[in-house]
Amino acid sequence: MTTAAITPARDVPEQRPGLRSWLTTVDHKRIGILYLLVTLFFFVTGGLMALVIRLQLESSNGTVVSPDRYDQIFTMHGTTMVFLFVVPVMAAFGNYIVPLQIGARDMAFPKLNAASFWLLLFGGATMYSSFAFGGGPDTGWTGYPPLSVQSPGHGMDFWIVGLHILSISSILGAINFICTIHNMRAPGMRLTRMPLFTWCMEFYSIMILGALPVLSGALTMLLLDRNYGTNFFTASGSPILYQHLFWFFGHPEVYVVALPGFGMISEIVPVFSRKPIFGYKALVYAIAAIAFLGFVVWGHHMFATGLSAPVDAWFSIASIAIAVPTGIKIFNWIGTMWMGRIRYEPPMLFAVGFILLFMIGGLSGIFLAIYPIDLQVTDSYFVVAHFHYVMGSVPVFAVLGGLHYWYPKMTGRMLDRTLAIWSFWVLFVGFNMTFFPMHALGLSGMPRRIATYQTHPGWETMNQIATLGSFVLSVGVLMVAYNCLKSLRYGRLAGNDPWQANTLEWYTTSPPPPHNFDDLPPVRSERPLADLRSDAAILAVSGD
Amino acid sequence: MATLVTAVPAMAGTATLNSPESPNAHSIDTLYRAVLGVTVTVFVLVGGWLVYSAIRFRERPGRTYPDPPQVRGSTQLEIGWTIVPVLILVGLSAFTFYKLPDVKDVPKGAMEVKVLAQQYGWTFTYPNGKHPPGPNTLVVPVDTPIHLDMRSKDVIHDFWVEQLGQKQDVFPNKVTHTWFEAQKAGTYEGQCAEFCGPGHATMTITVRVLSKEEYKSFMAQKAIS
Repeated sequence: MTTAAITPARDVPEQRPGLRSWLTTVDHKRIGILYLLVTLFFFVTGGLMALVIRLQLESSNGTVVSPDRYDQIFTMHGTTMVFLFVVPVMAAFGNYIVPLQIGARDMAFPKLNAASFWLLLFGGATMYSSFAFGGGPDTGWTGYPPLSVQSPGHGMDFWIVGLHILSISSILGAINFICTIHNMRAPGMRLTRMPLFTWCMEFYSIMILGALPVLSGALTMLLLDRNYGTNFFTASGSPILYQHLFWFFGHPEVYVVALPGFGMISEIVPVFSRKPIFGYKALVYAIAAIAFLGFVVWGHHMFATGLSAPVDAWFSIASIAIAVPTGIKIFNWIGTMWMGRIRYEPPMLFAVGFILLFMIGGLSGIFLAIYPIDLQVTDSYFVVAHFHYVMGSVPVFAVLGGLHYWYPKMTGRMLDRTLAIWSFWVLFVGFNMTFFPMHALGLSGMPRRIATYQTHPGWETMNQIATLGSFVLSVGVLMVAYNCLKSLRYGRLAGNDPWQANTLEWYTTSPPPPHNFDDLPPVRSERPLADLRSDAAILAVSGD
Repeated sequence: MATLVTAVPAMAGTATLNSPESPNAHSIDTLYRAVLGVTVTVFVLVGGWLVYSAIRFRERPGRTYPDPPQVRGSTQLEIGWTIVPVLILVGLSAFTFYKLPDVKDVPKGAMEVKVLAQQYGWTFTYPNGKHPPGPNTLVVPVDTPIHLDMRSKDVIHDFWVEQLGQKQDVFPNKVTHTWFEAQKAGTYEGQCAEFCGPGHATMTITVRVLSKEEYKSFMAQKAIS
């Protein structure tokens, strides 16, 4: 068998185990793990804030926290989950997995990669330090002016500066991913043979480059309005302009989060169905279509502002159109499972759960795209339900699916299967108990972002179910965390390829050596390892 | 588990918007029900297909299986499941734009009420310059189209009384419009639906709808200038 040449590993320094070598590392795998630890820390922080929100709303006239504090908490819950968890957690997996999947030795710019990570930590710390300097930001993760211009104290200034730092982190990361993917693929790995997770990280990066600079511009103007008397977004300027700029970033951001999640599902489903992915090219085109459409639908967040009729019509139709490529992906995943031989290892369970939940989020999105209906349900708990089925199902089910899938590669050990299956079911029940009743709350008139409510028929029951659900969900998260810690020491040894997977990361040892690969197999399709197995089977049959 | 069991029937009753009492709210409700029908059908079919595949093709321990067919795709199928959703969505869009004018257009000859929103309350002014008494309360006659001419004194707010129709944001730098025509006398509750600061939750709206005779005597005796 021929083995493709790979750059000699001589210049890759040895790694030491100590703390200092971790803090100064430029190795993509270590940076990936640092990313993972930090983003999961922020996930827990954002989750704890969500529990305070749920306790406050558990009954009418809740007094767990004051309205001021409540506003800071829901603002930082949203900001943390979006900017410090779901977006960078994709960079965690991208960092660890993409160079391995394409057979590279590291990312294209290892030092820049380390800079992205440290900026993430620094940006998060900047934002949270506002609580030590007189109070956190308090105008929602969207920060609409004029309210955000008038907000007293320095919470909003910390928020703006923190977001600037996070934007730089994400933009540097995106440049790095694009350069890596385009320049460092293994011999034989054409774009049409690239693993789907890597494809999704490519589009993730392109969308970050298109969207985040616009947010940075808007935030700069907001900072000037707050501190230097400009009037970009005040009543003397144009408050609505901020909303256009914010959502021009904000809607692509949804797909920045979702696409890598789709990528993880597209890796897991074929491996555990023992079939190639159904319609590889159609999936890549669907991902590209979603990435493009993601940039032209921002106005559906603004139907209630009173745009003109033709503008409403455009944003309505374009938003509805996203259902088509989204549908294609779901059909292709089910098509992959059809007639397969499905092994219910934990990653597959998470994948099937994700597809089901994302379908609910996608279908409730149609109500929000059709603008007369949006005018009733927008800014109500219906929207909160919708975006948690979309933005929440990705990290809880796709990312945890990915974590269960790649944990053996990262640590060399298997997670406890029984515990993983139990934690899936606890998470699945908890997730639906928390977020499904919110559809009903919104339909019966409960606006989002209210710190409290008067006694209202139906609202209390639904809120109680949601609060109970949020604690069930927390138990599920704790079970996963316990499993990860326990298995680090006691897990069964994984070996190179415990799942009989398809892509190059499973060719090397678990965990991989600092230089990743000693040699690479030939890449003749998008499943080089499956090809290797079938070659071996043919050799065995022919008796050679 | 007991909570879940009791929750299911409770949820079934809340799968729709609160009972509409204005033509625009009725149009949205009709559209909502149509979309609910389509989406629930799609969910049952596709979700059913997913769950069926997930169960039917599972590997059971202790049995040996042949290798599954290594199918890489099917152009016909893939074109099919692109075109069918397109057709459904074109249908939904067409229905939307057919229903649209009812929702947005303010009927001619509507009674114009000026609305001023501020942190955290609403002031309503009738065409004759008088105001309804009581904070955050609008009093209007039944079966009369009401055109709201809205402005904010400070930040962005949003006028939302669900049974009387859609939301409309209220801005400090421009006038926005919405309308309703209450078809039944009674009291309708709503509240500000755009986050506007720590008092956001207290910025409620009450619309009291009177019979035409009651409204006349209300204007003569109770409206304040």
